[in-house]
Amino acid sequence: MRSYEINDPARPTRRATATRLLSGSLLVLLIGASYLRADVIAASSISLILSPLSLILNLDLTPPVPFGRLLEYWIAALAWLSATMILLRAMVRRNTHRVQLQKGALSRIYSPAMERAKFIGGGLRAILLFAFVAAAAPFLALWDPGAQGSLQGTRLLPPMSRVSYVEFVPTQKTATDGAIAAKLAEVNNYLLNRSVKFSASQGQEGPIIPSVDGAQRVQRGERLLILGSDHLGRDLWSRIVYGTRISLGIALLAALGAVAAGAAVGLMAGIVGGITERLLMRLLDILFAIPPLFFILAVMAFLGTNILIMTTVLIALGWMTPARMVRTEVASLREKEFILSAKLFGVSTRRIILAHVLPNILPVLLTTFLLLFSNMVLAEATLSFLGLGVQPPTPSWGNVIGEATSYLHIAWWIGVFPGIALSSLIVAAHFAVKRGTEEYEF
Amino acid sequence: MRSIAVLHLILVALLLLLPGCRSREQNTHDEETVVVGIPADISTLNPIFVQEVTEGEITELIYPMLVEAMFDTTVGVLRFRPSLAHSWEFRNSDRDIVFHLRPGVLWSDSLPVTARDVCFTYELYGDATIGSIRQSALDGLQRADDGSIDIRRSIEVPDDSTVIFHFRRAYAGQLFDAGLPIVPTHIFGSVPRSGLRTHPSNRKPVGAGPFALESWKPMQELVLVSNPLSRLPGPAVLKRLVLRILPDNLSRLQELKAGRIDLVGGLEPLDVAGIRSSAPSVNIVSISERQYFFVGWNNIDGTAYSASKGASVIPHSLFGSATVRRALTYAINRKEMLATLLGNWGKEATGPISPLFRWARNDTLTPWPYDPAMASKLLAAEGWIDRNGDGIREKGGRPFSFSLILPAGDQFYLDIANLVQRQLREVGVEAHIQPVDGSVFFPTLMEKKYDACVAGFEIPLQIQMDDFWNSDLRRYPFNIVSFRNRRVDGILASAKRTVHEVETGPLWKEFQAILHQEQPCTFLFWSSRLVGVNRRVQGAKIGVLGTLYHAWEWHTGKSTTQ
Amino acid sequence: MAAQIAKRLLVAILLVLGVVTIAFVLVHVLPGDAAAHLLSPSLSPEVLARLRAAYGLDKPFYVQYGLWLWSFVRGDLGFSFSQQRAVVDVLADAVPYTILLACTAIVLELLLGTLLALMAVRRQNGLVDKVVSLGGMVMYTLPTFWIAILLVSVFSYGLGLFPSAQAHSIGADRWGPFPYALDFVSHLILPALAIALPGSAGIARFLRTNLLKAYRQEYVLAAQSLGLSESRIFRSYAFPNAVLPVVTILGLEFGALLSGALVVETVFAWPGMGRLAVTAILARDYPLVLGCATISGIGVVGANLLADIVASIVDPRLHGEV
Repeated sequence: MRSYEINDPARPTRRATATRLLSGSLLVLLIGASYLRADVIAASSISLILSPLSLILNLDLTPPVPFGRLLEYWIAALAWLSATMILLRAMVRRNTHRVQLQKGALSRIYSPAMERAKFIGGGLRAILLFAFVAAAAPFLALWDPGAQGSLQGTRLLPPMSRVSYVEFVPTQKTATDGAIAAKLAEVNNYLLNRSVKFSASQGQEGPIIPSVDGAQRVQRGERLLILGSDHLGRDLWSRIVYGTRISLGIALLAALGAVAAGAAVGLMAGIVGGITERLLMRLLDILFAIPPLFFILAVMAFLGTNILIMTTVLIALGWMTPARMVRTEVASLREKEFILSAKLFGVSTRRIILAHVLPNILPVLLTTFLLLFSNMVLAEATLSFLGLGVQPPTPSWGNVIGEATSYLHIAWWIGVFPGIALSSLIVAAHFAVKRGTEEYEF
Repeated sequence: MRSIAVLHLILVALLLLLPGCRSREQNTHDEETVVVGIPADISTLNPIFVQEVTEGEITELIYPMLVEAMFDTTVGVLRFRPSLAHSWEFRNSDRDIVFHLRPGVLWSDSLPVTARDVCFTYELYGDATIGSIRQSALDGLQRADDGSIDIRRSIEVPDDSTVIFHFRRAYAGQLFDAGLPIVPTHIFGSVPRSGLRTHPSNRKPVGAGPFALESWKPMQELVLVSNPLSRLPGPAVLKRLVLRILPDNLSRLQELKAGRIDLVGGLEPLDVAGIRSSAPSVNIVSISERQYFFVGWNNIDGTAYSASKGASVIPHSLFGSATVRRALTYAINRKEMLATLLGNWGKEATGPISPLFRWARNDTLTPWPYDPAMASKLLAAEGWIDRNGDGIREKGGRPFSFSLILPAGDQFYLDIANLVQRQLREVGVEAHIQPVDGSVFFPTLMEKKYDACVAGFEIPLQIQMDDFWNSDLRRYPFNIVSFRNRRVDGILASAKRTVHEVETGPLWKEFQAILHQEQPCTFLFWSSRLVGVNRRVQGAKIGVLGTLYHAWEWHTGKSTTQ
Repeated sequence: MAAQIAKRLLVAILLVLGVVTIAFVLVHVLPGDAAAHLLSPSLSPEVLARLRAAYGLDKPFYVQYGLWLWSFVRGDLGFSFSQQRAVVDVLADAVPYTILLACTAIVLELLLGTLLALMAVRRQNGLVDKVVSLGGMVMYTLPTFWIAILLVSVFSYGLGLFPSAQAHSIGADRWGPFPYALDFVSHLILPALAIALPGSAGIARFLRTNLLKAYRQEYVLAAQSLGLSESRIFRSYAFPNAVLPVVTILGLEFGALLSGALVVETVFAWPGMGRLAVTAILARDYPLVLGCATISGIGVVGANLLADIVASIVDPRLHGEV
C-alpha cells in the first residue's frame, strides 16, 4: 500500500491547519529546550558521530568507549533529530489527502481486515509523543532523576521553585590519539561522569567530591524546578520524564508478551479443538478466578521486585484475555467456508494458519494489544503505587505517587502530575483504537 | 424518559449531599475519660500469649505483677518497686528471692490472689506446648535432667502469701524475669493446655490491676474502666480509658488536633510543626533512645558461610576491612539524615549502647564526621580505585558493588536506603536497593545471606549485647553483621558473670570504643518516638517504659481544643 | 433446566476449591512463616520451634492441607495466628464492610451510568453526547488510585466535606442509630465514588450503545407504529433489553469487588477484605489467607454463576445452553 499526497493549495483543511499550528508550537518548545540543554545535546551529538568514526579509524582510546552506557544518549540525540524533522515537515504541509492504493492478492485479504482496525492519528501520535519523551529523557529532564543536594530546603518544594545548582565533571587523564580521540573522550566523560547537586540557597549544595586526579570542571547556575520536588528533595519533572521509560517500556513489553503468549495458546486451543480446547478453557476459568493479588505477593516474596520479574508477572496475569479472544475468533473461523475448502484441498495446517487464520485475527490482536497495553500501564502504576512494583530510586509514575502518600496533604503536586501523565497515556491508547461500530464514536 | 432522568438526578444529588450535613456534634468528652489512639488492634489480653508492645502495656494495667519496673533516668538503670509483693529478700548468695505477697488482693471476681497463682502462671509461661514467647524469662530457673524447666524446684510456695524463686545463679535480670503478669488459676487451671490459646477468657480477662476491661469491639476500640477492687496500688483515678483503633496515620493526627483523641503515639516529625501551630493544647513528648538504626555490613562472606552451614568464616571481600567500613561511615551524612527524616528528633549514634544507660555510655566518643573526601582517600588507600572511568571503584577486577537489603513495605527504611545509595555513589561505591519481604528479612540476615542491610533494633531496658556481638556465629545468629573480635568476646563473658549491672560500666565503655574503631556497621541514629498528649490529661509519665506507663495515675482537667 | 443449574453449581464449587487450593499452595510455598516475624534475640530457636508446633506449622504440607480441608468442610475455618481469634470472626468483621462498599459502588455506578447514558441518548451526537462520550472515555481510563487520591485531596483535605479515612468517626457508636448510620454513609461516599466513577463511565457508554441498538429493533418500530407512547416503549421494551447485559456486567464486577478493592481500601483505610488479605499474606497467617481466598473465590465464581443463570432464565434463547 502506498500513499499519495495531493497538495491542493485551494483547500487547506481545518485539520491540516490545526496540525501545522500544533507542530509549530511543539517545534518552538523543542528549540527552547535545545537552548536550555545545549551542553548535553551537543555532547551527545558529537559522541554519536565520533564514536563510530573512532571505530572506523581504529583509534586507540583508553579507557575504551563504554558503548552500553552511551547508548541512551545516542538514542536521545537521534530521537531529537527525528522529532525536529517530523515537526518541520508537518509544519510545511498545508493539507493532507491520502489515497490508498492496493497491490497484490495478499493485500486484498489484508486491506478489508485492516479497514476494520483503522488507527486514528490522534491516539497513535500521542503515544509516539510519549515514546519520544522516553527516548529523549536525558535531554528533556533537567538532571538525573536521583539528583539531590543539600536536603535542607529542597524537600517538598512547590512547583516553579528556583534552585541553584553546581555541576562538576571530573577531568580524566586519558591517553589519546589525536584531536578526534581527545574530543570524543572529552564529550563521553562529560556525559557519563558529570554530577549535579542543587539546593534552595546558593553555596549550600553540598561538598564536591574530589576526583582521583583532583582536577574538576565546576559550573554553577540556577534552574527552575518546574514541577517542584518530592519528599527526598528530588526534581519531580525529571522523575516523571524518566518514569516514562519505565511505564511505557514495561507496559509495551508486557503487552507484547501477553498477546504473543495468549495468541499462541488461543490458536492452539482453537485449531486443535476437542478436549484440549475444553480443558484449556476450564483452566482459564480457574485462573480468572484467582485474585491477582495473591499471585503478585507470592512472586514478590519469592523473587523480589525487579523489572524483569514485574514484566513476567504482568504477562502471566494478562495472557488470559488474548487467549480467550483468539480462541473465540479461531473457533468462529474454522467453520467458515474458505477454511473448510482449504482443508478439503489438502492444504497443510501450517499454511492454513499462516495464510488464512492469522490475517483474519490480526485486527482483533491489534485492538487487544492496544487495550492490553493501556491496562498494563495501569497495572504497573497501581502495583508500583502499592510498593509491589518498580522500586525506588528507579522512578515509575506509580511509585512517585506511592512514596509520597504521607505528604499528599501538604504537597499536592506529587500526586497530581504523575497522574496526569498516566491518564494521558492510557487515554491515548484508547483513542488509538477505532472499530467500525458505534461503540467508539470518537 | 425525561422523568426517569430527573428522578435519577434527584436521587444522585441526595445521595451526595446528604452526608455532607452529617451530625457534627462531637461526643462531648466525658470528664474522667481519656481516649488513646492506637494504630492496630491487639490480638489477645492474656499475658501468656502477648506478642506485641501495645498488648503488653495493656495487660500490665489489668493483671497483677510481683514487682513493678521503673527506670531511673539519672543513672540509667531499671529499678523495681513493690506491687503484688510488698517486700522481698535475697537469700542463698542472691540465688533465691523470697517474695511476700500483699494481703487482701482480690481478682475482679472477688477471689483472692494467692502464691499458687504465681506458680501456676509461670508453669504456663514455661510450658513448651503452649509456646509463649516469654519463655526465656524462665531460663535462669532450675532445670530438670532433660533440660526443661523444673517448676517444682524453681518456684516454691510455702504458703498462700509467700513465693520463693530458686534461680541457678544470680544475675542482673532476676527481678525483671520474676515480674511477669500473673493470671488466675481458678480461670485457667482447669482448661486443657492445647485449648488455652482459644479460651474466651483471653478476651474477657479477670485481673487484679487498676484497670479492668469493660468492652472490646474488635478493630474498633477497647474500653478499660477503673477496677474498684484493685489494691495495686489502687483503682485507677480515671473512670474510663478508651483505646481507639485508627490504622490511618493521618486520621490519628486529625483526631488529635481536633481534640477528639487525647493521646497518640508514633507521630511523624513533619507533622509536629503543624500540631504546634494549629493545636497548641497538644504537648509533644518524646520517648527517646530506645531504637537505633544502622547500615549493617556483613563482615564475612555470607555466601561461603551459608553454603558451608557455618563452617567457613572468611572476611567479606568488600566489608572485611575495618578501614573500608570506616570510609563508608565517613561517606554517609548521618547528621543530615537525622535532620531530614526525623526532623532532628533523635541523636546520632556511635554504638549499640543507648545513651539512656548513663553509667555505661562512653561520652568520649564522637561520631565520625561526614567527610566524603576522607572516605575517598581511605578507599583509595585500601586499593579501591576507579580504573575504567565508569564511576565505580574496583580492586583486583571486582567492582565495589553490592546489594543493600531492607524490610519491604516501610517507607522509612526505603528513604534511608535511597539516601545511603546516593551518598555512596558519590564516592564511587554502588549499592543496589533490594526490599525483602518482612517475614523473610530477619531469617535472611541470620543466615548471613546478604551483603549489606538497613535495619533497626529496639533495645531492652537492660544491656544485652551478647546475642548481637559474640563471635560464636552459630550459637548467636543475631550477630547479623558477623562481627568477630576476641577482646569483645572477653568483655561479653565478663559482663555476663557480673551480677550487679552498674559494675559492668567500664567494660561497656571499652566495648563501645572498640566498636567505634572497628565500625562493624555504620550506626546511624537513635530515633525518638513522638507522642502527642492533650493538655487535659495530667499526671502522665510517658517515657521509656511506654505510653501507658502508670496510666492509673492519669486524671483530667478541662477539655481544651484551642 | 434444574439439572443444568445443579451441574453449574457443582462446577462452581469445584472452582472455588481449586482457587482455595492454589492459595494454600502459594502461602505454603512462600519462604517464611507465621512465626518468623516474632524473631528476636530473646526467642531461642527451640521456642520458635515450639510455637510453630503450637500453630501446627511443623506438620508436613499435605497433612496441614488435609486437616484444613476437613475442618473447612465442617464449617470451621480455623484460627487466625495474627489476630488470635477464629477466622470466621475475623471475616465476619471485614466482610460486611466490603459488601457494603461493593453494593454502594455498584448502585452508584448503575445510577450515574444510566443517567449519563440517558442524557447522551436524548440528543444523539449533540454536544452532551460528545462530552459524555469523551469525558466518559477519559474517566474510564483513569487509574483508581489516582481518582481516590484526587477525591481525598479535593473533598477531604481541601473542602473538608467528607472524612478522609476509615469507616466510622470516633465514638460514633454512642450517637444513636440514625447519626451513626449517617456518619457511616459519609465515610462510605468517597471510597464508593472512587470505585464507581470510572465504572459508571464505562457503563454509560455501554448502555448508550445498547439503547441505540434496542431502538433500532423491529419490535420497537412495531410498537411505535402501533402508537404506543414514548415512555411506554422506553419502559417496557427498549430499556429492559438494553439494561440486561449491563446488569450482567455489574454482577460480575460485584463478584470481583468482593475480593476487596485493595487500592481504595489502602488509600481510605477502609476495614475491608482487601487489606485483610494482604496483611494476612504478609504475616503468613494461612488460615486467614485461606478464609479470604474462600470468600473471594465464592464471590467471583458465585457472581459468574448467578449472572449466567439469570441470563439463561430471562433470555429464552439461551435455554438449554447453560
